[in-house]
Amino acid sequence: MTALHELGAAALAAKVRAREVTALEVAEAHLERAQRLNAHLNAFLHLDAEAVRREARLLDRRLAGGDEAGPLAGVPVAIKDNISVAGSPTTCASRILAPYVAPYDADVVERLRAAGAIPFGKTNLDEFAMGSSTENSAFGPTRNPHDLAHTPGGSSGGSAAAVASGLVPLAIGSDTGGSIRQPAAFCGIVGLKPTYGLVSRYGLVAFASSLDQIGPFARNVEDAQLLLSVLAGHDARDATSSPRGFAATGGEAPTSLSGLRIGVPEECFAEGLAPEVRAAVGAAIASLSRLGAEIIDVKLPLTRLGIPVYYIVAPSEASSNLARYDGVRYGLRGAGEGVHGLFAATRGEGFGREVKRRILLGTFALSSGYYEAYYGRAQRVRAAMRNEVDEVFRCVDLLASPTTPTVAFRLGEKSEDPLAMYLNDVLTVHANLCGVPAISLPCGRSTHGLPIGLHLTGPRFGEASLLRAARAYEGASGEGHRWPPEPTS
Amino acid sequence: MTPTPPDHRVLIGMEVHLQLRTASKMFCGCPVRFGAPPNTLVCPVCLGLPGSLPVPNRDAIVLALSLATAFGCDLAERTKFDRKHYFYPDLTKGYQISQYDLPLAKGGAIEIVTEGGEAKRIRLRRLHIEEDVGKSLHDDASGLSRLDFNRAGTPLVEIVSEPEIASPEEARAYLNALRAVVQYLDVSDGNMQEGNLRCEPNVNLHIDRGGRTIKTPIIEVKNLNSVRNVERAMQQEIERHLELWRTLGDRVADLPRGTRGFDDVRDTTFELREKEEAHDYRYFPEPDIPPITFGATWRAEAGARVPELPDARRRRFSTAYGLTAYDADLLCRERATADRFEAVVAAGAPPKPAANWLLAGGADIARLSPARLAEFVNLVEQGRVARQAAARDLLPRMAESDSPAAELIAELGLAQVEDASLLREAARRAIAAEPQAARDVRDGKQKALGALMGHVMRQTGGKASPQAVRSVLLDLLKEP
Repeated sequence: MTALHELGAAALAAKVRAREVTALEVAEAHLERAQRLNAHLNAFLHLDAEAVRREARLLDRRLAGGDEAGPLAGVPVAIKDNISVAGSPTTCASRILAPYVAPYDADVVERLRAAGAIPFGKTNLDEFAMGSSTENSAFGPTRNPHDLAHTPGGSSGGSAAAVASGLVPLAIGSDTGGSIRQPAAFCGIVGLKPTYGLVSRYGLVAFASSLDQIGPFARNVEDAQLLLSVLAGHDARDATSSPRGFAATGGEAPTSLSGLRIGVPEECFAEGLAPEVRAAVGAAIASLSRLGAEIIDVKLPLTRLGIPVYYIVAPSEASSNLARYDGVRYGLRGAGEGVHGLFAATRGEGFGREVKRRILLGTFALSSGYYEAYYGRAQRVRAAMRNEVDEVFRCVDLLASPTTPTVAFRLGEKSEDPLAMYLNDVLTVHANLCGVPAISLPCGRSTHGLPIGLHLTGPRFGEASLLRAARAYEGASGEGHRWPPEPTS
Repeated sequence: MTPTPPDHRVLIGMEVHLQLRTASKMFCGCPVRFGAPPNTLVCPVCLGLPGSLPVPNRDAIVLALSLATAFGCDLAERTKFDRKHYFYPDLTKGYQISQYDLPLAKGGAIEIVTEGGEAKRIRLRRLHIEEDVGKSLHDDASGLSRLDFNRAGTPLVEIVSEPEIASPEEARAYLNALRAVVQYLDVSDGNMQEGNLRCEPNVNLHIDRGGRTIKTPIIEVKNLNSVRNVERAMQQEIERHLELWRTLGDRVADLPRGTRGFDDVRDTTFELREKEEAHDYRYFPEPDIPPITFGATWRAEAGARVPELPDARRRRFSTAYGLTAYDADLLCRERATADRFEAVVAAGAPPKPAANWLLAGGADIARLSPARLAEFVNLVEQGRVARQAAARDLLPRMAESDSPAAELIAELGLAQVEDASLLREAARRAIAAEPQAARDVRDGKQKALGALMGHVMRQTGGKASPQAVRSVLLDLLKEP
């Protein structure tokens, strides 16, 4: 018999709904595993076992009382620690928020609870989601379950590692420049960044407001789709939330993609791409072609400006969003003379190096006299990038590319070279800058055994066709999640 | 009075912050209320907790648009919010959500009447929406500062004028005119003491010297809690600028701009500590709030909220009701008074006496419905009750009873003595009692009639109509 932690979310929810297993039994199985393996992975920053059991028992009582079971009945879902869960620490992996306990649930957490899911701990991240390796956490790096010497990617590295190693079947993360898709690729699972506005940001601690989106992690496409259908929907508390929802269309994986046009942007296969990645993604595109999709070469010349534009827009917004951490109302309070001394001490002690670097970059870019040259110009290029991709989506339905130029790098390999770290986002920032949805799913492994990600991008609100293609590929290719080796201590 | 040196002009610009009277705050659902216990009207959004997001209050935008419409501003086709950054403990997010380069409205004007009695338009530069900050309460005894965030997120409108206000008196007139419009639109309490109207005037002088203009530095004055203090502070500043010019001569133009406070006990302005560096607010578009396009619906909704404004109403009261400009002005200062006047007239009262009674005021008048007040005014006008007796006895009775006024007059025994024989009898007695006065009147000394009238009034207990008494006395005195 399959162990509970090996089951996917849809399968687990079905068992709980059928009363074959209780939510508490599901919770215990995952708690046992999380408590045992987290020492190796450092995927969770906080995991309150009693709170998990309480929620599971409550659900079991409600189900026993005849309440209707939701689509995620009894499914443990790990939550990135930059998303508010009432009564739980929400540290953003920063010293400055180490003492902060959120007094309210994010919109997505309310939706998870309403769907019967069990909020299951808070996962590690790069401080305030700034990074691509989870090494910028103030509470130590998360490790890649496929090789503990490597990073799981970032910034949602904790969520990705937890799902990949079966500590939870599902997790949510946030994606500002690739923070869901890159760790999904590095850990060999499915990660999706929805269209900007599809999922409410209410309760997501802002990094770069015009780029941030919450999205799902799962070990297969169907589960990712299931979780997305729970997370999506209009929220009056987020003025950028779209009135459009997303309804999951379940059923069998499609066996044909005939009629689907998939564009392959040549800019995404430029130099710097590891040969193993190029080969695996090439094979995946061939597989999509065999499924009946028409493969079309396309050009997206402005893609090359993605990194410079992103590293103006994101730090500018971050410098503003992080201004509220001053030690006055909550969180860390440094000891300084007078009010400005207090601010300086708090922020000096509270923020890590990468966060400070980005606050400095952003503060400079927004300064009087520089605004037009940096932020204003970056926004104009961004608008041009949107137009360019809209234009391409008149000719194709989806875009296919690698998620990352390389497989997971080693811990410490890039931590002293911010620029090399930033370049890791070269293939993913485009979707955030354009507000379009994109998914990463496993498409093979390196000779070292590290996963490689296939990146599919759709037009705004094109999640349905994105997921349909992903499911068809997953079903036909036989590629997918592989269990990492059990760590031994 | 300020000794006037040769040829100078006063330039005052006014920056007014007005709290809008909405049910909830600008970007969250917390109630807007003054005087609640500290930090009881707060939520994750107005506290700026991590992860919270602002959602603009549509009602506040409509109120601000209606105000802009009333001032004749050009409403923006498209507007957006921007973040204005600075660090301060009562600022919850490290930035204030305001509007930078696409304000809600530009242009427009506020009309005032100058000391010379002339109408003058003070043009407006812009009108925009922003959020209020919390309040810092400094306790000198303990050295502690306490923070109250009930006010944080209250919708504010900022109204900036061109520097076209030419005297302290005009500054007062400007604020009164602005407040009258605000009251007419019912968008704010406009109370300076409670801080829901705050103003920061800036002032300088242009001194003409032999064909050249010497400009004194522009000074912004803060901490002004009444219109009177704005006027006083402007007087003090003009005096101070002239003194600076007398001391420094043309070099006064080289002084830097500054910010001063006002000490209303010592009636003087004082320098506020300058920040070491110039502020860079690093404005940028608020990414959490999409830009807003104002279509016809918005404009219609805002326009529908704009009633007849004080100026127009004053003019109409003069022409339509034949009121003096003075009475029309008094009636129109507050919308409620003007509304009440029109209701009383609509209920059948003649306009001029209705205006007189309303402006005379008093608690009893305030308690009467327009219909009751019209009934009262008509009875007095018809001579059914003497004016004095009506004010002294009938009004309080009417205020506490629903009975028809005519019945109350009877009940109180206030009916005017109209019985001619009774009056003649009383008049004869008065002439007999005051023979000297009677002689004087017969000799043409009209003043002496007063003594005789008083005598008759005393006999009738004040219930006789003065006109009737006068004519009866004169008739009798004509007799040989």
